Amino acid sequence: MSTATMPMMMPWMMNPADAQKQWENFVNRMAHLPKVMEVAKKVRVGSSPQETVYRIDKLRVLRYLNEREPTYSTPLLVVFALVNRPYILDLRPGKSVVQHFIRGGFDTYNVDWGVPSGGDRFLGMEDYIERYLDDVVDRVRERTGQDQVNILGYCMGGSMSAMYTALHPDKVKNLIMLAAPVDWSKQDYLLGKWCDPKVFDVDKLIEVYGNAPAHLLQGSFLMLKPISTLVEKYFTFYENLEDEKFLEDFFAMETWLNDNIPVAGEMFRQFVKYCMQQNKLIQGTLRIGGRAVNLRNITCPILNLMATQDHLVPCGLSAPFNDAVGSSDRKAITFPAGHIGLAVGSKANRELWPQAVQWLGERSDRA
Amino acid sequence: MNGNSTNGDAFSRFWTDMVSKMTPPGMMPPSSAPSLEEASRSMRQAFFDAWAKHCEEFMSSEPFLEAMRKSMEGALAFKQQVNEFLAQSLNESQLPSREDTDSIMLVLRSVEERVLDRLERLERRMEQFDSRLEGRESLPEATERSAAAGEGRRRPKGGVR
Repeated sequence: MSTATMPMMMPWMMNPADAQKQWENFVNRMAHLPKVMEVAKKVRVGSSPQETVYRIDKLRVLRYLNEREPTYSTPLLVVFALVNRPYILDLRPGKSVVQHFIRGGFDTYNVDWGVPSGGDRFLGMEDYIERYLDDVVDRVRERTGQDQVNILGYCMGGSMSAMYTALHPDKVKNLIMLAAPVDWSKQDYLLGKWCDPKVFDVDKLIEVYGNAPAHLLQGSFLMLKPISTLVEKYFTFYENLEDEKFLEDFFAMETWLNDNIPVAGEMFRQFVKYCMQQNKLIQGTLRIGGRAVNLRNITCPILNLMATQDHLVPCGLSAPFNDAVGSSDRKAITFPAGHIGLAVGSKANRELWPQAVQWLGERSDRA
Repeated sequence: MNGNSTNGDAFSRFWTDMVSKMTPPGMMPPSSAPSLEEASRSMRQAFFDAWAKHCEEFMSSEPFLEAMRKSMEGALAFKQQVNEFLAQSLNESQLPSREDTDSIMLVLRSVEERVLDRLERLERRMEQFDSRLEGRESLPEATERSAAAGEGRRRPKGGVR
């Protein structure tokens, strides 16, 4: 066998020319390391200009600035999960859900829940939904002079938005659910198995730690896909050391992934126990502030966005929402992406979000 | 014994799966073989896919879940002992511990709830007065007053909290 055909048959057996090429690639990539450091240092997240329009305790309401007057008078309020920072929805230019809505003519607001400290461990669902979220919605309504707002809820923020809309259907004009779980009856996904009450004693965790610690949450999320998050990612990183665009996206994403925050203890306990373990939300047995949360009370138009490769919130957890609500105008879109890809993926930004903006525009009041 | 054979089976399945996925890109006939870099990338991807699949299977298995439960139980028991020790040490030094701040927070929350309940009751009484006034008076001044009260009602509790 000649040395030229050998690598074709067995690629791990390199000929000298291939070895030379590999070495050159390695040297080129290493030569780019100072550039990599530079990109890492200048990485910026939360790309759209914004102002804080309201603060209460640690919560801030951000309003995204727009040079043009909004086309629609109904404002859009983005409600993110309590687990990570909300700037994932406005990560970088070209990877910003918020930008789609701003360009689409919506006066857009985002809730930054802040970082809970030890003193916030007793904040529960009632505090977050009936006090903070209701307060924010009222402020936005007051500020814009509108009776209703549009809400976009992402992940846990979507579940919270659904609870809120069920309790205050008169204040919500349209509801967009983005990878938001509502039905935990199917426990055949990894996170569901880990959160099974036989395995995970959430009461004990909160009793001991106070708040749900950020390191525990981050570790759990990483371990859901250990090969992809702990091994494969770094191979891809090494192979793209010379691609500045890739590096900017990579570091922006890493900044967000490592920017975990704790979740207020009581809120975490109630969410895991009543929603994930006892599945009370879809059954209509969840009570917040003494009131039953009945999803049938939701009568506004619904857009339910789900990702086919979502390992955190598989479609089975979100899809039943459309049948559980009382709305007649409801739509579901299942998109080929992962949980985060739904917000920052290039394909989602190209194909999904323009559809969502159009859907919302058709159902919002013009200015 | 059973555990060993299960582990052995899992490993064999992983190995067979991985090799079967890695073989095609690595052993293509010269005519259809991709470049060296592409071939090794496909093999690597096949290896990662097989590894990821088996990791997920393993992390969903009963032995793993049981081990997770036990390790968490142990870690929480240890953390609780540390908390208790620290609380005791702080108390001995006459310094406030987390338990003390928690108690203060609970008291504050209960005070807050009582104040908010009282405010709600006052608000309802105000509304009753307003509606009575509206019934009796038809002066524009009264209407203005009730509108102003309405604005106040829309103001959420947040400002008070």
